[in-house]
Amino acid sequence: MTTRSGWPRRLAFAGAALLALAACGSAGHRAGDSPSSGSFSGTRFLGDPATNGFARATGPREFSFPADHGQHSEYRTEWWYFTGNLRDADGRRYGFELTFFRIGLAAEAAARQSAWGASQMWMAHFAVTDADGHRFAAVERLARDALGLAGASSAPFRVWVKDWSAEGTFAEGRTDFHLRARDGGLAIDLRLEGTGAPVLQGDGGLDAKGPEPGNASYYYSMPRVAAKGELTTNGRSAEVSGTVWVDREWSTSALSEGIVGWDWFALRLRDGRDLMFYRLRRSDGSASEFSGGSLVESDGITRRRLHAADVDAEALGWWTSPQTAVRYPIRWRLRVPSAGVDLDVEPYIPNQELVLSVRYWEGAVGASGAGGEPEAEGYLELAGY
Amino acid sequence: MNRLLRRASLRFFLRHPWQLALAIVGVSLGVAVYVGVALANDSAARAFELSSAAVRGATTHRLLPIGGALEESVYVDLVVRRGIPTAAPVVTADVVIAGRQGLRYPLLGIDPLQETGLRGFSSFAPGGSSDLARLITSPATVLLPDTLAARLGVAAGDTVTLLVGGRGQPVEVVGTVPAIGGDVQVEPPIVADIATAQELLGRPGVLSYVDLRLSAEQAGELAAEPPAGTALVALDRAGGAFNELARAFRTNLTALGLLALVVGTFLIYGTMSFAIVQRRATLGMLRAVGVTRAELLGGVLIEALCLAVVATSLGLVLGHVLATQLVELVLRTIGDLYFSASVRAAPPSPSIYAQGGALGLGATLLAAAKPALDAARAAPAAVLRRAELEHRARRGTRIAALAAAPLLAASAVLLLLGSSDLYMAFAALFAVLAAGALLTPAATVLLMRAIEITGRSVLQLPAVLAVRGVSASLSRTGVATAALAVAIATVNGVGLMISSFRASLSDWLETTLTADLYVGFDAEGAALGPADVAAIEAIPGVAGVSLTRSVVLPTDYGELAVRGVRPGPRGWGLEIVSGDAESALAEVAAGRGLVASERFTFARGLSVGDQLVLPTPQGERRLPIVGAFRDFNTGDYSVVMALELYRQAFGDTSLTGIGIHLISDADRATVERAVREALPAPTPFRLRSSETIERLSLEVFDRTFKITEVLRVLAAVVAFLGVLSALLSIELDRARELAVLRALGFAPRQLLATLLTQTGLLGAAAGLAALPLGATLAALLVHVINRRSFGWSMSFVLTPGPLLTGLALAVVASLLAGIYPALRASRVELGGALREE
Amino acid sequence: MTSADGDIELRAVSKSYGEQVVLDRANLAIARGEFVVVMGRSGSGKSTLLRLIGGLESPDLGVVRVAGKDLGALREAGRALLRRSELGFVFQFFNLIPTLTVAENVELPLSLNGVPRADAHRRSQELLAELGVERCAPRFPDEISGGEQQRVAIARAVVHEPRLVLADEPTGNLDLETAGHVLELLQATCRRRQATLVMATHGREVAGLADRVLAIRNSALVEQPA
Repeated sequence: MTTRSGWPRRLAFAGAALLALAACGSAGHRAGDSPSSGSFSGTRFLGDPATNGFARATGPREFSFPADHGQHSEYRTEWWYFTGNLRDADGRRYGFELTFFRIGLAAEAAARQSAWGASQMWMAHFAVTDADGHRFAAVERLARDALGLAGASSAPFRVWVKDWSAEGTFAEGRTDFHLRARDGGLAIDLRLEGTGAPVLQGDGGLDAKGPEPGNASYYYSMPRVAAKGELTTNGRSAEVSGTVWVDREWSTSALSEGIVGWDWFALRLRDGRDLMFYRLRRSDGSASEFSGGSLVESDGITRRRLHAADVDAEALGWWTSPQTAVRYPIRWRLRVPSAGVDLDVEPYIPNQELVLSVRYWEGAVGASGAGGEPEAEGYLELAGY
Repeated sequence: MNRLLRRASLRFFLRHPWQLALAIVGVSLGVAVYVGVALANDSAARAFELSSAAVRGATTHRLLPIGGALEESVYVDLVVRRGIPTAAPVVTADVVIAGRQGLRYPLLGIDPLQETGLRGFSSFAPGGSSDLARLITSPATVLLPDTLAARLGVAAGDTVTLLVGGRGQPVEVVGTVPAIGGDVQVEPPIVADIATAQELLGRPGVLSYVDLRLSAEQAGELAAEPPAGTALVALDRAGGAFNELARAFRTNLTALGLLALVVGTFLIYGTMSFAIVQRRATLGMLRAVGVTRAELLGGVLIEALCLAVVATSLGLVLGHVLATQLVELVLRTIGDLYFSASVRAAPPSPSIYAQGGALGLGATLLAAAKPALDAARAAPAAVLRRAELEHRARRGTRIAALAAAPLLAASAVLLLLGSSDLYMAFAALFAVLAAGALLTPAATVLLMRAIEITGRSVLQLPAVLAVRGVSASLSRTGVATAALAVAIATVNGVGLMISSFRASLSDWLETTLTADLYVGFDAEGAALGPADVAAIEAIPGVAGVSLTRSVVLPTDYGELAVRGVRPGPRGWGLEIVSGDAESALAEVAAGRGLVASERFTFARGLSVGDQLVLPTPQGERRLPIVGAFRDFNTGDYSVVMALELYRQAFGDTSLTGIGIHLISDADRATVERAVREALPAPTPFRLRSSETIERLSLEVFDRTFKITEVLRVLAAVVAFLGVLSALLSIELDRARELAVLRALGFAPRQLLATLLTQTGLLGAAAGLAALPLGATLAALLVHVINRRSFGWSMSFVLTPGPLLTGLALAVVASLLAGIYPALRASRVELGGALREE
Repeated sequence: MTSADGDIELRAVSKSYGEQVVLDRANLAIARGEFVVVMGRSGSGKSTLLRLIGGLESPDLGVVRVAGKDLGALREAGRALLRRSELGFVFQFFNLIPTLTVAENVELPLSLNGVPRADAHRRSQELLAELGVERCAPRFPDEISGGEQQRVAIARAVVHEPRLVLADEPTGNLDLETAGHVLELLQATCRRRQATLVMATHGREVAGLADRVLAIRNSALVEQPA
């Protein structure tokens, strides 16, 4: 890449969460929010990188596991991202999202007498899609990094926000995860059987965002993790199994000017390839040339980096949220001509909008090929609408 | 109405513009006072609700500590182990701002991240997330209410100093917060991050409480197995004494508003009936020319209705204006007693306007109906002679006086029937007032006769003329006199009640404040060991100390302040009002029981001998009530037990207060210095002398009753206008008579003197009638209303001060009201008045 | 007939009520002790003339002198003093003070003139006896008959020995028989005290008793044969 690149997806979440709290705790409840006044305003908070005192992703990094599963609090923002497509014994389709965000509030922690003193906060989102029941539910947890209310450790690996957690056991270069979250009649208890080495995104895990050094994030993924466990929706539990996409990213960056949001695709193809693509969107709706992604071959190792020009994403259908009146493009045609990929991406159900401290659409999707046969499944994230 | 009748009526008022003005002013003032008080009351109520709602938010339950403090680990247990989604920790205390001593502001320490879905502290970080991040991460930062910031002249970035436990703590203002609410706005508390609050208040490790939003199921689970040393309270129960007091206060205000309306109705009646009586000749003639009774009655009523509509509308506007003035006072009163809030404007309340409108129209029509009926009933052309009218007035006076008896009886029955019902008590009060109003004309006649008989040998004829004029004009002045008497009686009664209350409060403070110096610690209690106490006792000049641990417990009776006390050399400082004082205190000292505040026993229907169930960390504990003590506190209900018993029951050895008793020749300043040094350094404390506490208490008391002063002025104004309208009507009535007197050689000044004497006598009669009425009212307020409202029992002190003030007020108001009519009468163009009819 | 120091003197007196001219540059002189009757229809201005003389109204133009004093030069207090000492009024509707007893009504002018109470009481009793209404003394005006009321009014008008008694239709409200009686009494009482009596009336029968009879015609005072 020769010019300034786009910013990594979801980075704006961090600031947005805090801003949303400040604004009213439910920015999404206000119907008709302009895109920039919702989640994206948070970029202002994240901005001014020269003075914030946080570390920057400046160069290649020697990743080391399980240490790098833990937190990197010298960077402002970091997340642990689990999205999965599951089925129960009857073949019912489910989707879930369990994410843990760490948000640095100040680079330097002040010396405090009170145990409540904190310089970072945590946010966790938990959403479940019941495709056949046409139900979607999303809840969140917020906590400060104090008193053991939330935090992350690497050995043994654990990230938690209050009673929700992701724990990991690391053995022979492979990490097994145990995800647990519950809120009333919505719960998940899922064991993930780890795969081998993670896919390092960008340039060996350094996802450069622009020509300036440090304007980048560290980003690795585990696209295809087998999962098995119990999912409770609407108070009813079911044994489920499926595949989970794990994303890890940390940085101290912000979205560049003119970018209002992104559309992120994470798809596991039937042929064993895994496709990740983020389409950074300008205010006029067009894709930024800094959009990018990767295509991992079925061996799970061979990886091809995708640039904006490699991918053609076209919105086919829109859905308007009855709750917030926001309009999301939930059906897509996604093509990577050079790799022979041509997919119609369709959500399990239209309403997979999360109206939490941050409002966005993130949902389980399926994809079919030109002949209409199922070709892929995964998750789609629509932010900045 | 017939067109000609309508025209006649219109012309009448056009020819007598002042009379039209008076009728309108009378009605509108009556409506305005009621609407003003009701609106102010309503605004205060709304502000009160808003204020508590702002701090409570969507909270359904509150987890409170049972004795001692709420460890913050309890919170971690709640949200991490138990997984309760919506739980917000709170650390709160009142602080004082340096330079603004005497005013307390609530400091609310919260975790902003936990407020989503609970308090909706939307307005708490108007500057956006950077404010919030700063608030959380930087020590000693707060958000100030913008109104307070404006008063202090500070803006974001400035520093203010909070006084906590007497120690100055500079804090940076990271933002200001606008008032909460729409038309009624309340000042939010000073907000700090919970870490900051713990640090400022010197309470690391502990919380005041945890606010929760729980489903019924969650609440059930948590209540069944609460964290150790805590109790779960549903929030609608948590208020306890606080809510009941606020309600009682508002009930009292409503009663005052109704009282204003009663006086206002008198006023309306006075002006309306005069406007009709004055035309009795015209109306008689109309009957003579064939106008039917129904037509006449209808005409008069429609006229009254037109007038009522104009006047009532005016009254509503006036009431709204009045309310904006009153509401500040009402709030300040509630604020002094209970919480801090400010209301910027009285919000329009359709229901109150409707009430005011109905009252204005209804009272006017009612007031017009009787004289209209009289006029309609009169035989055609029978021009009622004045003498006939006076005759009727005399008969009316007798009937009214007789009617007072059953009212008084009803009042007594009401008092006996509803032994603790506040509304019955108010009904009784109004019955007494009504009886007083009915008796006033008769009392006036008797008084005038007495003056004439005793002054027979000394009174000159002009004076006799004045004295007789009072009785003779009762058909005109009767209602005004009664209204004046009721207004003055109210002023007297409230004044007496306040002076009685103040005297009782002062006595009570004397009794209660046994020590000379008081060291106060935070509600969480200070951990002071026997060595610390011994160090204070060893200070030269100290005769001994009393120790107190006071804790607010969630109990089945609502929130209850439990005080463990080890008395000092001067005893318990409790005035036992039920139960045998000596044995009760001996029982308490021996740890065999507790004494409860009189307010508490009254409110909960408890009596000596009952068992009180208290939650303790070891489970429920039953203790007998061995006595009740007098208590003028406005806060929580309280019980007192021996400190040793408290410590044993609650396993909590901290202290919230130390009373220091000095030997007689001790040097206070030296002892104070030594005490400050003797107290362990990190403990925040407040050191005050008993004199300061007494002074502050009385100051608060005086501020509390400021609003009654306003009502006093209102009563006087209403009474003044009533008398004015009555006197103007007399002037009209007696124009010929006065002209004859002038023809006989009365100089204008002489006539003025005679008329003013008559007016003064009228005022004095009302004022004198108001004396026993006011005293009765005061007795009812002291012994019945206050007791039923607040549970305060006080001694009734009959001081001449308030009574004489009332009498003076009556005479002065009447004289002032009399000046203009008398001047007019004494200067009237004689020719016109004497021209034969 | 006219005296140089006329007890009552009107010079070029004009008085009008709005458009209606009552008197236009009227002149009049009445000597002390005279009994003058002013005749005329209702509204002709008789009463106005009396009120001008009594100082109850002021002329628009001209001078009114009573007992040698220019009423226009006196302030209201001064006129009041003059009325209480030198004048007595008798009205058509009696106009007794309803809250005072008959005796008190008669005592009132004496009281105003500072006569001691006992003295005043005695004099009023005597006078009421002289007028034949002594039994009414303790009653209130509304408790006695019209004729009695007017006799009391006469008593009140003369009790303080005024120089001048002004009577405005004193019999207008009485039946014929009573009227004659009251008239005689009034005249006799005034004569006994050498008080000037000016009476406004529309009844011709009085004219015969008067020293002079005046009439108001076209806003002018016209002397008529008695």
